[in-house]
Amino acid sequence: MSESLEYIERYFGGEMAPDEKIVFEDRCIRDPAFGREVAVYIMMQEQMTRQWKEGKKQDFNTLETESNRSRTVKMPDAKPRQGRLRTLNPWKYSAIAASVVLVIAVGVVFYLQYAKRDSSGLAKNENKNQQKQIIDTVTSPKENIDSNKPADKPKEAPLTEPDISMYDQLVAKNFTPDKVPLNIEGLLADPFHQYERGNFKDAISSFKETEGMLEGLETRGEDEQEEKERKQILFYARYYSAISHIANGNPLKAIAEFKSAGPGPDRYWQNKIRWYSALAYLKTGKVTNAKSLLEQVVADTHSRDYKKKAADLLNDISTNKKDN
Amino acid sequence: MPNAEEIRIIDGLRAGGHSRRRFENELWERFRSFIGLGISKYSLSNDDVRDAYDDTICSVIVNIVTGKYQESSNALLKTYAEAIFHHKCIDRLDRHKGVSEAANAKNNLKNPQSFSQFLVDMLPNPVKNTIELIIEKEDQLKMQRCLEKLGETCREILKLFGGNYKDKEIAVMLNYSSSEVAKQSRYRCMEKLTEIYMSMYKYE
Repeated sequence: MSESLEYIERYFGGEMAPDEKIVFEDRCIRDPAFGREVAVYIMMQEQMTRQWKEGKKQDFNTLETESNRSRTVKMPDAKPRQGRLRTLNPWKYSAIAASVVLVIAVGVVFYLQYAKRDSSGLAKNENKNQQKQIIDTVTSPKENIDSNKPADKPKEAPLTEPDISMYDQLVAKNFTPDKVPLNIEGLLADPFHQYERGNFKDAISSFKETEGMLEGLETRGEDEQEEKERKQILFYARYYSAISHIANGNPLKAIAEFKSAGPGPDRYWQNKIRWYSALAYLKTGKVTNAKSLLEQVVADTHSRDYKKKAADLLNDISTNKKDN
Repeated sequence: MPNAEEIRIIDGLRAGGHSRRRFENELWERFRSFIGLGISKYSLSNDDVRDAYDDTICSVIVNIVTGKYQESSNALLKTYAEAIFHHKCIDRLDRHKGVSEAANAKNNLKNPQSFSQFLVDMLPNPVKNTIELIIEKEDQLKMQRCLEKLGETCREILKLFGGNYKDKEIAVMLNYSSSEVAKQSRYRCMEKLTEIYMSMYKYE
């Protein structure tokens, strides 16, 4: 019987040569028993499809329930809904408030440290080459990070305090942590849970753990599917870790993470990376790099979601420069 | 032509394996607004519209995975899904409000086919007539009863196969050592199902 099944499947799978197909079709008409086998095969296929559909409908029901439930989970800085506060555990509310204060405090400390180091010139001397490599790689992903290309971009004038705060304001106005992909399971469940709650420091650690586990994992060389999934999880871990760094007030680390994430699997992700990298550059004061990335977003026909945002931000940058 | 985000979902569905489920859910989430439109447009109950929407997404998934939907020759995925959804709602209207009213609305719509019809349509006309006559004699519920007599493992394999997962993907998802082992297991289940069916509903 399995020979018949394989034979029938070859026909419906389009694997038969034209003359073989004629033999098959002729047999369906002339051999009633074989015709019945084909009919039963088609009915089985229909029934199996039905079973799969029923399973999918149950999945969709679950998804709807979870989706409705997740919409009630608040980010720490979101407006509380009327009536929901009464049902919150007060200790939980205090913990959320304490987390927000901690994130802000860490951000302020990093900002002050960065401003101090920048004015003394120490940071420039120590990290100049590394930063240049990172910047060159993000703006031109195909370039080798180890190449010693001479700098061909004009040096930007050192920023003053008003400049930095102006760009910070622009970043604050435009930055929203990117939404996580739907229905994530497995290795990314915990870091995304932290990310969605606004616990970016914990999210970064958790993403780092996931990366470490995946980098050490050896997939079976011939299993393309497994390797593809591993790369996808790695990409998500690095991408969302980068965004968490921006939220945490650490744009340099964000830029480094975007670089290690790579250009992205398709143009949709590439434009997201350009957008968020631009914000990170803006936060460091590297306006030329930010503008270059934003112009790429505007020019790309696939960047529907970010095209207008990028155009508006470019406009704001120009306006602010003129005013100053 | 579908837009970038739709292409991403289409590619994800075609990639198959474990991650396919994520893209199926993303597809369902993407066109959820159809439900609200369906309720206002067709005067069907929430349950009917919701059921029509779930059916639509299942049909779109199957059509993408089997290659029936081709980006180059089709409009936006949203437009394609909307046409199927419209037809599914009309079908439900058909059941509630009588055939003639629904038939008028159906006239200009393409008929999104079930998978078995898809298979039957692959046959040339003389063969199709013969096979269709045979199929018409049988009741789908008979097959359902036979399926219930199989063990859980077989039902799981056949369910995945019904969702157009390849043997290679089934092997990974159900922890078989190779695609060939998964394929042989699937054949054994299908043979068993056929035996049960033949013994319960003998041909004359």
